[in-house]
Amino acid sequence: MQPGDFVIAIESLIWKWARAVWWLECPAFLVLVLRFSFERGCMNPYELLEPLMRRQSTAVAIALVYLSAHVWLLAVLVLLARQWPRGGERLEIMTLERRLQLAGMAGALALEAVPRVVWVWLYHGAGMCR
Amino acid sequence: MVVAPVIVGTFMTLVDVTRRTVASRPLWVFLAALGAYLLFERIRRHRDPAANRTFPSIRLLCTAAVAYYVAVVVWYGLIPQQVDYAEPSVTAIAWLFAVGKPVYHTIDSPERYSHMYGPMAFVLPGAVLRLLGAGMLIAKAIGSAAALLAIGLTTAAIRKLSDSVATVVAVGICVLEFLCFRNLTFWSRPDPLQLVMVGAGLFAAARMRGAPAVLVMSVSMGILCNLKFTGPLYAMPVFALFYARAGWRPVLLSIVAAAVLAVAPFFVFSNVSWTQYVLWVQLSARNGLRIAALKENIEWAVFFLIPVIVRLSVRRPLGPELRWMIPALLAAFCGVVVAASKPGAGAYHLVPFLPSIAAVTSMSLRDTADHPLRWMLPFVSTLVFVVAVQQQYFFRLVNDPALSDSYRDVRQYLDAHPGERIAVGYTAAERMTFARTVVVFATGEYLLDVPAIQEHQLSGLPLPQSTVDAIRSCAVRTWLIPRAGEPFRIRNDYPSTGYREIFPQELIDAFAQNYRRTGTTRYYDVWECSRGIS
Repeated sequence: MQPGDFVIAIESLIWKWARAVWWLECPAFLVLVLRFSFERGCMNPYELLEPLMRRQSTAVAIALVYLSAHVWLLAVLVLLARQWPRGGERLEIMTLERRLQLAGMAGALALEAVPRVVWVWLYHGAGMCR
Repeated sequence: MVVAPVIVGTFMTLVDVTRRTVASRPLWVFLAALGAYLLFERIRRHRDPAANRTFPSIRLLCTAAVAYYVAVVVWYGLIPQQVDYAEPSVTAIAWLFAVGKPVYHTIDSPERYSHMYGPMAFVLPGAVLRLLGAGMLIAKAIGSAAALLAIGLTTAAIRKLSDSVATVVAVGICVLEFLCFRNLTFWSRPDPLQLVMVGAGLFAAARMRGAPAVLVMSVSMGILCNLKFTGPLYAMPVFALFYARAGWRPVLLSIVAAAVLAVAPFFVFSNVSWTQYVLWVQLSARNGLRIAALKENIEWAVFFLIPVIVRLSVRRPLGPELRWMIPALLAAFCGVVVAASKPGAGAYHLVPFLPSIAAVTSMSLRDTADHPLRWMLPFVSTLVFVVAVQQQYFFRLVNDPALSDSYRDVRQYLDAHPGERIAVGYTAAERMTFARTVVVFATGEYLLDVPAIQEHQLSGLPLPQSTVDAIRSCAVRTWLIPRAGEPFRIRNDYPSTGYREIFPQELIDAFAQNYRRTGTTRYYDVWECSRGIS
């Protein structure tokens, strides 16, 4: 096997991993993000999901979901950068499914980056904080 | 006349706010700087297509960064005071080890000072203090010497892996990253020792062969794994480099030898108990994790990994070293990012990876040469910004006349009362308790260490009855209590404890019943055991 073939095999493996894992990772991460947004808006923003995060087993599981979402996005972005056509031709590797998956994960991460003040305004405005 | 202090005050407040907010989010600063730079470049190239970028200025900046780092490390080493809340704890326990006291006391012991650092964090400085004499300058010199040695070893290793320009740039970036964490890489805690061990490992992997390489790798990685329980993760990229250059046999041999060495202190020293150590680590493992810390760690991790990410995004084959180092580095980073999310931890746990990242950076610069400045100038600018903000705060912490005078004050009292059982007590004036190290040097005894008690409380472990009994029985004859605040009225800094009082009312009552204020020094009230005072 040539070194180039090995790289292609690894890249293809990562694409496959990203595609399969997305269906588990993205919904789980989105649920976490929405819960965090509520806690940031209505509860203690510094100790999110405190009862679960105080227990080592659940804390590690939640941390892994949270970390995996970032790893997924970074891995896909690096692959995209590596395979980005230099001559201006169409990016063949970006199928519709990949585009949607990337948009979904990037959207969830963008939600997680929204400043707390927005959530406070939103949840308090909607009367959801009791 | 009146306006100047107001302007200075406002400016300092602004700098402080920047330190707490913007400077602790370097990834976002970098992305903003990158956006601004790309825009600027586009305009510049539009006006003058032949315009070239200024690579030499980064080299110059990196050289200046290394010179500044060396100067500040030497300067800090020569000041006989510590500025971080846990520096006095580590030095005090190191001295306890040196005089034969247990490093990890039992769970119901009256003494409360056990931390979850591995024994080498106390054995190494303890041995140096025993050899050269117990003193603040010696204690400080350990951290400074370790930092200088670490940077020397890392530079020598990197020089073997790349050319001189890449070495200067990679080491310069590495020290700028060190300086983002104020004095962390040269303070009196295990961190400088971790950096020396990583540096020695990289040196052995890059420059040595045969039995000497295996020996240095085994010793350095063994100590590294012993210093903190995340040690094996920091060792992964170093072993990966060693594997790429020496093959699997020396790696396997050094992993086995390092594992033996990592547990050796528990069998060699009678005052280092494996059972107690495991107990304190298990207790600390109960503290859970914090999402806020995890988020911050991920941001710092991505920021530190930018040179690696840039290299991976270039479609050129990786060299044999990078092919092994990069996956090991990424996997280990994931582990530490999660482990460093426990309460009280943070992104500073990523620092022992920085020499390995510097090695990867130096080997990658040539491959990313056609577009390194798109990331490098914004990256280095972000580092310079964070370093400037953090270093001014560090200097403000050090230049506190009350702090340096408090050491002198305690020393004078000790000189006037030789052989007396003295201890420094606690109030809300935390910095005034840092001089407790000087007392531990003189007495060889240490009853209460607030950073340890805070951790114990966080883990749900209350202060045992034996500690209250020790106060009741005047185990300490004289307490020097900082003059600001009430004795032993101090709150836990960890938010998840609800900022509870650290000491129970029973202990405060026992102190009030058994001690009487008999005098004052410049910074301390002198409380003596009331038995025998007429």
